[in-house]
Amino acid sequence: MEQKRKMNETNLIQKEPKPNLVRNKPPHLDDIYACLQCGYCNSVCPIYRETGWESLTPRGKVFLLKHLIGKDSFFDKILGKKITDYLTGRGQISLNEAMTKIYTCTLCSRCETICHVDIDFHEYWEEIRKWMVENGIKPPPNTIDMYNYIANEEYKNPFMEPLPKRDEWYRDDYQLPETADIIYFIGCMTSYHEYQLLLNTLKVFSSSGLDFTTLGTDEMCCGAINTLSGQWDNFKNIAEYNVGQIEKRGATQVVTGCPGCYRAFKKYRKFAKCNFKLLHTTEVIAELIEGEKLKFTKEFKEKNLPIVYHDPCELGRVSDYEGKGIFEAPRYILKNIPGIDNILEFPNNRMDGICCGGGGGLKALNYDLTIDITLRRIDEAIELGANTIVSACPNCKAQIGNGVEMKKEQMIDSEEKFKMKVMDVLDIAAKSL
Amino acid sequence: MDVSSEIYKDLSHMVGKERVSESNLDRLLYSHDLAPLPKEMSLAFKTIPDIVVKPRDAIDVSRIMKYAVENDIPVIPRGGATWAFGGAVPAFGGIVLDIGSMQEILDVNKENLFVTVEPGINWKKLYDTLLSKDLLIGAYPSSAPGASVGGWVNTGGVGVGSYKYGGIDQLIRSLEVVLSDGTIITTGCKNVLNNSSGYNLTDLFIGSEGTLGIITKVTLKVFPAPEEIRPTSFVFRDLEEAGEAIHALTRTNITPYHIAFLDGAHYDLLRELDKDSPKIGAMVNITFSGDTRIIDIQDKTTEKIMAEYGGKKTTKEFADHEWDERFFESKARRLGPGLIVGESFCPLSKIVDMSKRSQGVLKKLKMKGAVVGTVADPNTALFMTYAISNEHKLIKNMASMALVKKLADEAFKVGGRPGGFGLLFSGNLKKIHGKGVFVMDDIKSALDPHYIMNPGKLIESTTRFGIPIPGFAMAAGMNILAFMKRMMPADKIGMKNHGTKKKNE
Repeated sequence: MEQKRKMNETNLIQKEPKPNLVRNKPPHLDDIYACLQCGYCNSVCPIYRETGWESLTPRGKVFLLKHLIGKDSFFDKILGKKITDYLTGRGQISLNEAMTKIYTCTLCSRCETICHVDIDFHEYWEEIRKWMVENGIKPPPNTIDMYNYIANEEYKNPFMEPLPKRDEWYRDDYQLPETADIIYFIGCMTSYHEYQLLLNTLKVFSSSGLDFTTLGTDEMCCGAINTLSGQWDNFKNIAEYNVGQIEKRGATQVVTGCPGCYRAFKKYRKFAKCNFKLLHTTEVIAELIEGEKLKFTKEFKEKNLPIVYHDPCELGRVSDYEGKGIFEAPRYILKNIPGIDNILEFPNNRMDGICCGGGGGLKALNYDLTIDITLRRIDEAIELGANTIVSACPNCKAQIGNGVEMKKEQMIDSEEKFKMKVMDVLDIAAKSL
Repeated sequence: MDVSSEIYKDLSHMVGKERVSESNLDRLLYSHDLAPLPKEMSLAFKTIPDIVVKPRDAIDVSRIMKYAVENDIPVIPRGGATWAFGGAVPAFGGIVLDIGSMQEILDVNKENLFVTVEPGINWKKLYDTLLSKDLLIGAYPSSAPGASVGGWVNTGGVGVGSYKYGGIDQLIRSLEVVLSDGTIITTGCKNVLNNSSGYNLTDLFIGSEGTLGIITKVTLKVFPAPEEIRPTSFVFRDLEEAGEAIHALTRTNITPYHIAFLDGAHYDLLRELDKDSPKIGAMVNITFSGDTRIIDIQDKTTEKIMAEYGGKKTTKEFADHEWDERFFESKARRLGPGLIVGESFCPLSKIVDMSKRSQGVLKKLKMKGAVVGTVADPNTALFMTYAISNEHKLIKNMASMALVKKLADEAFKVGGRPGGFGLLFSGNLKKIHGKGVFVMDDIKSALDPHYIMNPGKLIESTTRFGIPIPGFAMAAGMNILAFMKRMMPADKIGMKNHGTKKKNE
């Protein structure tokens, strides 16, 4: 506790809040004014689908921002704000409530696919969060805690897990070299919560004969949660630290299986000189298959067929907006697994894929809501007749896994038997070796 | 605290706490629709509701209505809020019923070709869902990804597909409506036509702008999905030739699914946004639906007719792109930022005349915009002329509103009529219906004696202080605005670097 209090004191975010949003205009101002309020985004927003509140739609949030940064009206000036507030029934908007609404979003960028006036929402929402924090509006308390845990030398991860635990799953079984051409950047979610995926990835990498190593306990959280929650002030340090560790090992390529880390690394380029190529694990594996350096022999278990592939937002759509979306590599790997002849597709896939619910740091703010979104995705998979949901993201895997557990609980008294396996592409690849 | 807290407690008791909100933030977000009403307007009309409720079904709505009558509180139903006439914007505060949260498809009957839906579902979702089940929704609004089914019923819409299948009035089998006293009624028969004797209650609620009752279920007739939907596009030298070609086409027995026309200025504005748009005089987009063999014949004949008036067929890719863009005609808003749209119906025989008049209005008011529209049926062309405004400039933006009035005037001159009425244009209703408006008044009084159903809309424009705005006063005001607009310097595109990243789409 003592330590936590100290951390809070030194926390740079907790400046005295004196937000003057009218003067300190947000970025993407043109977009705020361009918004037509057509509400097309509402029709695709997963949050709106679950909650039905205008304040939780992209349209509503843009309208809210426009209001927050708007100058006083003609009558405000003449009659005074108090009188006009009384007459119009408008009243003061609580900034904390506004923050909660804006942060109730999975940052899935689905709204961008349908925007009438082409707002670049994948940047927009992150920038708005950054702007809010810079103006002294505190982000959700859980994300502040995560920020502090990452900054803490004892953890370096947002989950308050001890640093030595980071490599305990594999350090004895894999004697990885000091230096290597490829760094496998594992990511906190995979290191601490999805260690099966970690072991499976290591298995596939070693059996392909890749010259790779990890950062071991020198790995620090990529800082994705900092950027997603608007707390950018130590992101430069994180970037410099991780890039430094990579350089020390002489790597020319960084491979990560976590789309969150993947995107954070792209952001590193603004803060540090990155002399390495960035790849997602599925890209590497797809390339190995293509070059016939990796062959799968074992059949995929028939009882888990058919499979459906879920596009992680950050790997697919958001990365597509940032230059290159990874849609085909995971599908290509799955097609090469013996026993998998057919991959089912969700009605909304690739650019139109729907978030699993676990994105954007929303779990830290409203976990129940994220599970509602997940349950809907699981229901879609059930309707398709799938027995396994496959993804290429540890966050999606964890989230959908939690959703499946919840679904089982809900159906405990039901006569129907519910079974659904949740796997990562790399899990399947490792099991087929 | 205050009175509204009592309302909050009572309504939460009825529908559950999570479905009611009276926070300043939520109320603010339910105080507008697409219309860029300036903040100043909220002094004349109490556009901010006292409370927002999301009912689950007709029973919830019925309870709320009974409560509202007892306590004399206005109730404003709100669907997608994608109309630009303030139909879903409160005029006197009150309860906003957010129907958008009722969005289930309740019944898809393939045997007898009808569907029953909750009114909050949006048209695009319904269209896509039905198409995946090999069914076609007859017509849908050009704002289908945002507009709700109930909203389009309440505005009596015509849109994409209306040329072949008619407007929403032709597509409804039955409605479930909650009246102001809480009674739940069904207006038609879901299985068969509604055209025998007996007052047609369905038609009463179509285009009623929520002033007579709250629609809680809609049964629509549907059609077998066509073998093909084939968009075609034709480039013309100007809107005049395009209009003549459309006139000629609509005098034949060819029945395309949809016909749309766009001024070359529309594409000029898209180019300002760095879109890869052609430099043309005018465009006519004709989309066919049905069996491929029959479309082949219609397509060929249409091409011949278009060619007679100078129309050149574009590539298939271009036509497909135009079809995909049918929901996205307001992109130019970014250039203002701001957009004013004037909706008016004109006799198809006067399509060329109306095009010229609309262009004339834009020119007179020194506005940058484009004349676009669709053909509603062989009698009727629907003009959706738009112009860019600048919301940062209060006076100029207000003056730009005159566009709507001036386009309405032109529509009357050619024997047509303006589109919606909503919050501000009820004056036009009398111009169209004459003494018929008194009958409408009587119907309103009979169904809503307490005057709580979306008051201040359609049949009477009244400010919150009870001062009515008679049609002539509104007209005079609008004329003053038009005069001001003409005196001001011409509109320029205000934004610099307005190109977006998604170029050349």
